[in-house]
Amino acid sequence: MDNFNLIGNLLLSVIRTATPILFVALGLLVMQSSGIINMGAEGMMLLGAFVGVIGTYWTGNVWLGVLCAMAASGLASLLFSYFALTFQVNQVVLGVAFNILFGGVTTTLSRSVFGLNSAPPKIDGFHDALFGLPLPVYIAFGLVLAIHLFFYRTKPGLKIRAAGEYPQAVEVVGLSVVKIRLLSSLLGGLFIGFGGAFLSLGQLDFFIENMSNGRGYIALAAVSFGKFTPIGTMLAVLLFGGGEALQYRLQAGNSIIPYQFALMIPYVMTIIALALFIRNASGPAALGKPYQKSH
Amino acid sequence: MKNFFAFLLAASITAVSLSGCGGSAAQSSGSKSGDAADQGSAASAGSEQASESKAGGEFKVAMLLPGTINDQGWNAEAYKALQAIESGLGAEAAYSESVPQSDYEQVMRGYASQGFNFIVGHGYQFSDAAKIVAKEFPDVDFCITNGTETQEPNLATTSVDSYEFGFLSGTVAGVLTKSKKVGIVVGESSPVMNAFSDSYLFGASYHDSSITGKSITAGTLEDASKCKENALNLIDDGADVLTQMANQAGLGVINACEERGIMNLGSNGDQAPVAPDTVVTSVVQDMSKAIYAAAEKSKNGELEAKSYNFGIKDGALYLTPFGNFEDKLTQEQKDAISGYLEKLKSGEIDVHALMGK
Repeated sequence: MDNFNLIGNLLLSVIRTATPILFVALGLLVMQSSGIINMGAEGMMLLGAFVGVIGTYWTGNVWLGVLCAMAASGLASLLFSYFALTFQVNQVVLGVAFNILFGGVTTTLSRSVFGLNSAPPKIDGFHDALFGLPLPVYIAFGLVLAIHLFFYRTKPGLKIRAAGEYPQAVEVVGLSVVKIRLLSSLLGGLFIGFGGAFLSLGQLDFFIENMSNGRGYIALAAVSFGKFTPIGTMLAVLLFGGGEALQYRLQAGNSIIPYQFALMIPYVMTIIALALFIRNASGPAALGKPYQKSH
Repeated sequence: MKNFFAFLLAASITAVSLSGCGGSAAQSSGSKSGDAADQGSAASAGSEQASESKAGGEFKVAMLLPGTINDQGWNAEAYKALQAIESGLGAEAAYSESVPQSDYEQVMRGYASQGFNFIVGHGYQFSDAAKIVAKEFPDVDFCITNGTETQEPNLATTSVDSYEFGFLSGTVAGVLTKSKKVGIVVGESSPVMNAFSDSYLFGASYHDSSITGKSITAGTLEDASKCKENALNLIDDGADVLTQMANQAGLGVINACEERGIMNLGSNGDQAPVAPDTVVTSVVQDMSKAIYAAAEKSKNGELEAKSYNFGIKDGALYLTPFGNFEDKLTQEQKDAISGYLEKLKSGEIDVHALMGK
């Protein structure tokens, strides 16, 4: 294999690995900017992966499947924020509860729909569209730019950031913090659902129990790593994806590196980058704090 | 997990009390209750409660699984065995899936104290926990599949020969490959998976010494996309026959091969239905046979603390029919494959001697 192919394949591998995490990280970014820390992203991603497959299986159209996944995760995210904002439940605990809940729900439903000792049903997932990559990849990277513009060039974007940074100010100008946070959660949930659906429809064409396998947490880390900006988040996700892709390549190539070290690469790279480049990665000031109107 | 365990506990307590009420119905089969009564008196050292449940004529089997029962492979085979034991031996069966390492002892202890007579840890990784718990419950039979250690008087292992398994897969891959490059993705570094991987590569080069093989350790038993990326990298490097052993994550390898139109071999169970156009055949490791045999011995009170090993000649390892590849393979290829099967069956090829293991 010549070098050109090698680099091309490596890049494709980076992007394939990064895309589902990027979707989820962008969803989390929107939520976190408004002041909600969604630890339940892992579970919601899993929900998206499952509903995406079910939706595609029943409707026969992959885009309808994605819409179902987005709706499901959006609703889950809305529910999450409803608990967090109305009942002021601790958001970390709530997130863990959501992860356990959706881990169980997707497993149980998948077994009752698809049965046990049978091959996963064939569904028609995403096909490669442009340069050997399926369309959602371009949507994910397009979203980075869109969210950047939305956050820093539009009024609703400013309102979301204000709700996360200084909710009292939002209340003073007569807006509802709770409403803004709920809407941000819905929007974020839609992206998380798409990320989950891409995992099952873009990468594998079937659902497997617990297939998100920690990606929700990696996305959560990527948001802080990216200093709570869309571009930074994308770079963080790409760095992690790059580490993974490098690891795959090193193991497949005839390297003498023991596999344990190869498996470490993405994490070691992330830690080094964190130590070198990240100063003051403080998030929105009101992140994770329930908002109470002052009297 | 804890909640699930509590639920399990509650459910089995209910089950025990219910079966206690319907005792006469449970003794409908004369010979069965006779067996169990013998066993009950032999194990009368146990608490009153335990002997009571045994007098109820029940042989109770519990299984701890490292993964989920629908992975089309390792755990699915165990679940099949459990179903066979349930119907064939009239046993009452229970299982726990994806048991985390930290809970091994606790779950085993739970089953043992609920009056289960035969407890299976499905995988070598349960060995250490079983050694501890088996001491605490001398009347209960413990058995580790593919285990490496036994312990008097009640801890046995039952295995399908991983070396024969890998060697058979490797020779088939060797027969099939055109690029002279074969690949394998295993989930993690474990005695069984390493033995499988080593003997796979050995088998391929045994068929043709010019064949090179590459083994990748994915580091996951759950993440199918990760295994898929590993497989795609192997394919990019020119491998044209792959196999895998990584529980449900292995499905990612099959998916990668399907996407690129690369031949691959199923492992553990019959995986051809997952991708009939690219899975040439599956090397089935019929763990259910090994587990069933051990359960039968336990029921008859004959289980010894030793390693029971099964291989190709016992019918515990075999190839599934070529399916869609029936017409695509040349007669020469088929003859070569069946030749290896015959030689392994007759003992003409002794994998262990060849590999010095």
